[in-house]
Amino acid sequence: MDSKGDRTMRRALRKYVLLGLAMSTAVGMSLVGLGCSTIPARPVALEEARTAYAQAQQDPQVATNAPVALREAEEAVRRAEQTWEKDKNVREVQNLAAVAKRRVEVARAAAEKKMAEDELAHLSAERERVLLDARTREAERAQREADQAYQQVRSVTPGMR
Amino acid sequence: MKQADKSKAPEYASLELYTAREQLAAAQQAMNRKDYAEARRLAERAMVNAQLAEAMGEAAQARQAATELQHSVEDLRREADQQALRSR
Repeated sequence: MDSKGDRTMRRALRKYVLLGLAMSTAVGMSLVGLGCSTIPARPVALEEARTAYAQAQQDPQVATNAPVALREAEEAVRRAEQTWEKDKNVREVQNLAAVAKRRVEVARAAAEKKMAEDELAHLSAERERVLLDARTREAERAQREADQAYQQVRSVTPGMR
Repeated sequence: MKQADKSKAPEYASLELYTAREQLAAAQQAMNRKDYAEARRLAERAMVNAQLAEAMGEAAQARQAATELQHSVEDLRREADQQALRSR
């Protein structure tokens, strides 16, 4: 009899504890929800801009061939982040982040242009070299043919030395 | 925009140039309804897209020139090799 009452008590107690737990969880969740609605979430575009910049910066081709454009991209990312820290204006920061992402692309295009121009300079030198080689070989051939002709003429012309 | 239009962008970066033009038109509309903050934002976007179009155009042009010169050098080298064979 005693143990039965004890068991009922314990069951009731457990019910209360669970109820309390559930309620506090619900309150906690709603507080978190409240927090989200007052402080806007960090725009995804901001993270994307930062990642795009970090990738370009780690790309040696971009870093060495377009340092100025890369610095401008870094400046744009910083401006977006500072604006976010300062006034949490989502619309403004999304715009600045989009601009920053484009700046990274500008840096990549600038690097691509520089590399193509370097290649052009290298190929121009290569072209000159091939042309010079061909001309030299042509001259040598002409010289050889002239020598042969001279020898021939000499061999059939008596008295010629 | 004018600068980008004059460059090789129309040929090589038409999508970026189109985007820039759309954003510029949207900025103008924002100006007309006196939404100056939005007008400024759209103008900034149009500006960077026009610059991107120009940069992409320049890159593509340089790349194409390099590819053409590469072929030209290969042709020359082949001719030179044949000439060397003939003269042997």
